[in-house]
Amino acid sequence: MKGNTVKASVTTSSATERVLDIVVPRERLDKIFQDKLKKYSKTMKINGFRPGAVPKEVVAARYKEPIAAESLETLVDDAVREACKENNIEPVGPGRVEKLENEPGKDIAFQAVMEVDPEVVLNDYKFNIELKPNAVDEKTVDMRVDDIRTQLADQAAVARPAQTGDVLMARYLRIEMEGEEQPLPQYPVFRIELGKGSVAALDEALVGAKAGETKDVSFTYPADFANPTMAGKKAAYNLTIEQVLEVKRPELNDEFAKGIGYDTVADMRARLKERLEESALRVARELAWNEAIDRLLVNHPVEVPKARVQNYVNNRLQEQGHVHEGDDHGHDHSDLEAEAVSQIRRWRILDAIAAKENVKPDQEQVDERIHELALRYGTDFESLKASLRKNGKILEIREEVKAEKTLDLVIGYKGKAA
Amino acid sequence: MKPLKDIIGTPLLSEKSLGQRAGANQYVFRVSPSTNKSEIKKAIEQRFEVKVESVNTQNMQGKIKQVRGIPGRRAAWKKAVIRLKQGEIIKELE
Repeated sequence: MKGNTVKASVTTSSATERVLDIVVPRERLDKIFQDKLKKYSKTMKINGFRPGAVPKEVVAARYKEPIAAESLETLVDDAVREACKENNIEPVGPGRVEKLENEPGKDIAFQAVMEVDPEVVLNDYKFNIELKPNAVDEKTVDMRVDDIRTQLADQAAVARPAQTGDVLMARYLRIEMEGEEQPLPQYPVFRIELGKGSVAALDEALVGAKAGETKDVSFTYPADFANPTMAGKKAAYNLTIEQVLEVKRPELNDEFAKGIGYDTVADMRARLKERLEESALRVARELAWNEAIDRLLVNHPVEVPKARVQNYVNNRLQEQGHVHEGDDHGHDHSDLEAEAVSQIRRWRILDAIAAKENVKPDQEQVDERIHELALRYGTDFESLKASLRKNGKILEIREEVKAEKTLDLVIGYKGKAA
Repeated sequence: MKPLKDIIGTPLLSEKSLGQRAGANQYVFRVSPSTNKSEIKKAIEQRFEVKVESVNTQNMQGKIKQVRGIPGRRAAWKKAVIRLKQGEIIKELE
C-alpha cells in the first residue's frame, strides 16, 4: 500500500517499555471509514430500505460519529501491530495509546507505549549445590512398617475400659464453652484415638471409660489449638461413649508381607527403604532447587512487565473463583503481585538458561511423568495421555519437565546413576 | 398561514423517495392531514428557500394494529410529493 505506510520511531523508556511514535497518513483512515461504511450499508437494517440496500450516504448521515470512532480504533490497532512487527517488538499486553492527534486535514499521530519482556542477561548460574538427602536408617523403616500395620489394623468393639491406643466413638450431649452452652454440631458423633488426639487433657479424661458410659469432661484448650475460635478457651463437655474399639494390628510376618504385595518381610523392608530413600532424595533435590531459584533471582535482576503481572494475578484470581473481573478495583493483591513477579522471573530465567544450554524435555521423561500420574489417579497410561493432550495439559507437563531438567543442570545434579 | 411546523412534518426517507429525488427532483414529506397543496407549496418555498414546481398529495390510512388482540388504528397522515423547479435542490436534505 503505497502512501499508506505507517511511520514509526522507537524510543526505549525503560527495560520493559518501548515508546513508539507513530504517524499514519489520513488517507488510510478515510479508506477504513469507507470500507466500514460499505460493510454497514450491506448489513444494516434501516426503516424504509430493504436490508443490504441502504445507501452509504444514509448510513453516513446517521452513524458518522460512531463509525469514525470505530475506524480510528481499527487504524490505531493496525498501525501499532504493523509498527511492532516492523521494529521487532513483541508486546506482552495491549499497551496504551497517548497523545492522539486527529485533526481534519492532517495525518494522524500518536504515541503507543508497549510493554515488552526484557532480555534476560545470564550471569553465573551454575551453582553445584550438594544434595544432602536425609539418611534412611532402620528406625525410619520401622516407623513406616508400623504405619502400614496401623493403616491395615482391624477394629473390634470391646467391653473393657478404654486404654491408650484404643479408638472411641463418642456423642456430644452438651457443650459448654467458657461457661456458656453451645449448640450441638450437626453430626454429634465423633471419633477419637486415645493418645493421639490434639488435646491431651481430653485423651487423659477418657482413659478408663467404658462403652455406654456418660462422662463429664472439662479442660482448657491449648493456646496453640488449630481452631483459633477455641484456642485457650475453657470447655466442658458431657459425652456418652458409644463404642470402645480395640485396634488390632496385623502381626508382622511373611504372610502379612505377601498380603500387601511383597515376598517376605525382608523384601518389604528393603523395598520400603528404597522408596524412602528415593523420596528423601527428591526432597533434597527440591530443597536444592529452591535454593538455586533464590540465588538465581538474586543473580538476575530481570524486570517484569506490568501486563504480565496483571495477567498472572487475574489468572490466579480466576482459579480461586473470583469471577468479578471488572469490579475488584481497590482490592489489594499485593501479595499475589509479589508472587507473580518472582514466578515470572523464575520462568524467564529458567527459559533463558534452557535456551542457552539447549535443554529440551525428552519424550521418555514426559511419558514417565504421565505414568506416575496415571498410577496416582488409577487410570491407564494411554487414556490419560490422550486426555492430557486434548486439554493441553501435556504442554504444562513438558514445561515442568524442562524446568526440572534445567534446575538439575543449575544445581549440578547428574541423576541417580552418577 | 399556519405556523410552518404545523404544516411540514419530517421528510420521508426510503428507497422509493430517494429514487424520486434522484430521478424527478421530487421530495417526499409527511405533512399535516388538514393542509392543502397551496399551503404546502408556500411553506416549502419559505422554509427551504426553493422554487416548487408542483405538489401532489395522498391521504394515507393509518395501519390497523392489534394490541393484546384488540384492533386499533394508527393515526392517518398525509403524504406530499413536492417537485422542485429544474436545478433547485434542498441542501439540508442532501
